[in-house]
Amino acid sequence: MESVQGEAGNFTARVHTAARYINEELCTGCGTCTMYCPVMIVDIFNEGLALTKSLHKDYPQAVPSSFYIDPKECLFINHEMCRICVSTCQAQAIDFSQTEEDHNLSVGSVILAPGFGHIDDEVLSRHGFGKYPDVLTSLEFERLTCASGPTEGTIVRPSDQRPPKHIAFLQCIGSRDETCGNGYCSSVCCMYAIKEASVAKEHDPDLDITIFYMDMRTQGKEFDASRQRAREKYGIKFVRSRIAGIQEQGDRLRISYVDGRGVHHGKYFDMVVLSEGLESPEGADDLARNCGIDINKYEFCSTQAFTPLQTSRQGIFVAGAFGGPKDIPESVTEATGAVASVDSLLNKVRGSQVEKKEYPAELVIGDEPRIGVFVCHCGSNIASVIDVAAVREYASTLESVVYADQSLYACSQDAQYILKEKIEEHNLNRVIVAACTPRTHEPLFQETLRDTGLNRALFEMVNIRDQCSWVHAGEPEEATEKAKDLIRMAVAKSCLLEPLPEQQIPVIPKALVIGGGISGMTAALSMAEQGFETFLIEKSDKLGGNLRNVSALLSGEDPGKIVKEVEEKLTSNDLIRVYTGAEVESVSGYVGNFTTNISSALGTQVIEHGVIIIATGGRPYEPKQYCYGTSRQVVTQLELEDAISSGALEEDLQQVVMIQCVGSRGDDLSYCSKICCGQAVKNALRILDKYPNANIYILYRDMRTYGFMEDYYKKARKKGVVFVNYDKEKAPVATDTDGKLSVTFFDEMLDEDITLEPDLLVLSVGIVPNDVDSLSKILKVPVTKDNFFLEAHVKLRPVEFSVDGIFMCGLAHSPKPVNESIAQAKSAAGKAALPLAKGVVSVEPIVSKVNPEICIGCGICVSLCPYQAIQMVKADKKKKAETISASCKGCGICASHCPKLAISMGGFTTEQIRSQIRAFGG
Amino acid sequence: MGQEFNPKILGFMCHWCCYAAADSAGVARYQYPPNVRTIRMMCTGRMDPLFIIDAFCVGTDGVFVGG
Amino acid sequence: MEEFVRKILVKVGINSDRFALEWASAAEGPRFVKLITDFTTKIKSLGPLGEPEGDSKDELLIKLFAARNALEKAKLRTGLGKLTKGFRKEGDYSDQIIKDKVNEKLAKSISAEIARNETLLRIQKEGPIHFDDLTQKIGMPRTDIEKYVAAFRKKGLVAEADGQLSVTSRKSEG
Repeated sequence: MESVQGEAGNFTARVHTAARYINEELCTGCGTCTMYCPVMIVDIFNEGLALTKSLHKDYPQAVPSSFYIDPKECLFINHEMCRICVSTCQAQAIDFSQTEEDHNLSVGSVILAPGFGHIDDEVLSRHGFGKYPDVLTSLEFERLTCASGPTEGTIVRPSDQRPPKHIAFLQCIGSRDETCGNGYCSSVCCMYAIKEASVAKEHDPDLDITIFYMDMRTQGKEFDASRQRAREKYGIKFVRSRIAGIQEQGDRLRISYVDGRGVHHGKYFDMVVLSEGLESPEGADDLARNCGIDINKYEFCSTQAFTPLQTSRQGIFVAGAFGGPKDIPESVTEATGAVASVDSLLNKVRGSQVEKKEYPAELVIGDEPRIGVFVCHCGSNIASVIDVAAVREYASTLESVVYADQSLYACSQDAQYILKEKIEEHNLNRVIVAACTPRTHEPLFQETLRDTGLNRALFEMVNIRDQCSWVHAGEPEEATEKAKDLIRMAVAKSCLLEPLPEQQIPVIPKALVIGGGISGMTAALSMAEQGFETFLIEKSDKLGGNLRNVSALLSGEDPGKIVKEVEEKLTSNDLIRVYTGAEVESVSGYVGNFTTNISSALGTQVIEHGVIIIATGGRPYEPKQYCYGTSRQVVTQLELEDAISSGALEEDLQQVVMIQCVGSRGDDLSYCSKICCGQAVKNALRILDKYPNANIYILYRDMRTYGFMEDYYKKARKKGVVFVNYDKEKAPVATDTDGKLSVTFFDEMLDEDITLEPDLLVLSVGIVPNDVDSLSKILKVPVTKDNFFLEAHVKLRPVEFSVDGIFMCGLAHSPKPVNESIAQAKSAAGKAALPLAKGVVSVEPIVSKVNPEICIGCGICVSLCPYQAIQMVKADKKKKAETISASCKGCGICASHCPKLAISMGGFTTEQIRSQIRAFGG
Repeated sequence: MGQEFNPKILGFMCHWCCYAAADSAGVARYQYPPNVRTIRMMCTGRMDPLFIIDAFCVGTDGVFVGG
Repeated sequence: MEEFVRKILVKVGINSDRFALEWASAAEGPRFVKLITDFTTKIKSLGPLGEPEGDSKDELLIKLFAARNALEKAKLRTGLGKLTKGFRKEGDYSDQIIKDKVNEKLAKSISAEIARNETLLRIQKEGPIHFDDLTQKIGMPRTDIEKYVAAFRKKGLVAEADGQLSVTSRKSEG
């Protein structure tokens, strides 16, 4: 990105692109060129642990799936020799005339998502990296554990290629370390170290793994459970210590460290993994300058707590680790959140540059199957192994095949033209292409079919490249036989293919948001700003939720102000209808077409809408421990905040003790509540502002001031707040003796119990989800064992349910601070807006269909469907199952479990599959 | 017999998982025995026990279901 | 599903190692290769279908057809559906639980349904056949076979004369 001129809604972005030297349009991704490229280079994607070619792609799933040439290494570019690749590419995609280019893009908005950067080698070298071969970074280790990595998942020492027995992980490398300029916590390393260690143990249960850490910051959803599993199931050891040094002794590595009691230890390992932190991306300062945005002192993008996706420049948004170190789910969440922000800005011109494709009317096909088989050479990818002519010849002998042909590249433009011509010429009503994989190319051929008026379900693809010629290169005869068998099976199936309807189900372009805390408010506002009518319902009599009880944020912002601002925006927006004192009574329908009954003081109201966002939130845990409720000196953090802001604290406050994890992490709730560490640090600092001489003790288990919060933690330490670590097994004890409160806790360093008599004991209580029972039943959506709503995929679909059209955000998903709740609310709104913006739900023709004549109404399918996509309906007073096409994903579990075989799957009917099996038998 | 036994194996593969893994094995040019003939499905959930028995009925020597 | 199929295969007389259910994610090309290579090796070592199992090809086929016919009908399918529904509800998918449940809930009906279909198939294919021969070939208690035969007779599918069973209307199956 070279520059961004103009203003929000009307930018000109100047983008510089490097030359790939391969035309992406022509490249079929076959990979022949890379096999012939003679230049071996270090494989950067595999962290230098493997070699690749100068002409390569970084990894198989790369998008676009085209190759490129590394100009630094290419013999032709540097020495004008070689050019072997040019002659191997039959698609003629290699183009050395390509040059670097500048493009001026007219865009309304910009999203910055450059990710994060590597920790400097110099910093890593302080821990032996580069000096000792068996000291690896965590990214290198990740590649070693990967099944498609350089060792195919076998963990070996780089020094002697032998499997290690003892592995140490060192945490906070390049994080929480002022000496390398990274004072912040990288947030994700504790969890990924646990994951890598667990994966390694799954490979080799005899491995001995120790993780050296300062605080185990596994604050994410279900992360503590993983940590527990790592310790209990896999026997991974956790040692709280920042190591003193690492030295090679013989062929092993000796780590010296001091434990919590001050005792020195030396331990030997075969391999040491450095859990390297997440740094700001390389070139962040240039990017910031070119885009005209602010970055913080660590060179990450500057954002505010209430606008976590907004850069300092209007119309430019940020997503992912560039806004601060974060894990995959938060990054994915922010990505859709940023999209929602963009849509709020640009929804007036949504779709204005889209051209809609028109297809000819669908032909009515005769009963008699007339099959055309097209066998592809794929240059030499198929033809060099498989006897294509023989396969075509064989295909032409099969029953119902009226035409068989072969082509150099079946996917090329001219081949599509020929395909169309042959369909018309031979009056074909089923088409089979034997070529590469349907996963990439089926849509292309189906498109060609539609252009001729044939239904796309009349197409079948046979994979004779990826799963045949490429993998049986040394056995041409067998490969040819296999290709013939596969085509025979496809022909058998094709005879039974039927045209399937292209269903488009209209969507009611309105949203329902359940819960009026800051998450629900943000989500509702975002929906409306994206142009959709939105109903926001709140159980209590006013909006704002928990944030109303918070008087300041750690970073200084005023929550009261933001609640007021958002509330004003909500009430002044014509598209939003707010119902307070209201609850969901019942919901029926499916994505695009929900009907909901809302009960309130006004009685029951019925609303219709296309999507639902759940933002029912959580509330503070109510403690019974530590004399809470009996001693007036014991308060929760929120009560303390209230006292601080209202000036109700006593005049000469001298000593305050705070206890972390009250209720959380196995106390009463099994999970970490994520916000309490930051909250304690915030309130400690606020007390010190008022009473600079107060003694404050924070008794903690792991201080989880992740990300940039770490700065405030350090500040509190510098200001004299005393942090004392406690074990869950040796938790502090509070006693109230005749109105005199005392707190006793164990100090590991001193190896003795200490008793204090504080003026105030503050409990950092956890977060409890609001009652989810009735709503999860009404919507038939799952919850976790901790009663938070369960997302469709914890990493990749963090705000969606497996059921289409329902989304979640905020504390209902898991405990989180307000900036993350807001990002998630925008994300849910971004996802929810998709079907509304499209206006229809397009149904893939693979969905299931119940034959009501055969169905006996047993309901097994209804209970097995993971997507709530089958319902029971009454027909002639009999119960029958019926597919809700808009929700169906085509998995087929209904069909395979139907007692009467009454359910057919589009393109995968029982009869079609059985005919394939019979044809396989010969 | 003399000749090596060349078994007939039928594979049922999930479009999103094993079928995709098989494709990526191809992209990487891994080599494996050419005995398997694959029937693609959208999900292993489609797998009906009937199909497996059907396969043995037509003389299949082995059935591999890949989810 | 997996355990259910294994039970049927064992019942039919097929080494259940001939059936494998494995998992590989889209990125796990090498794993797929290993799975397929190992499976092919295993099948090679087992030899052609039926050979090591010891039964004659026809005997194996008749049992297979019986299993197939059983699986086309509602009884076993309903059993499987209900069982899967139960697992979904309980949320426990551990191997042992599945094994136990299949044994507890389905083992009996698997045996019975295959035998019932085998009875009819054999009468169709081998009839007229003596009751004793039938019982011996099927290898189930005589009382069970009597029950099946009685039901078939009631439906008018099977007739008996001098202890010899044969089909009335020759509906060819398999």
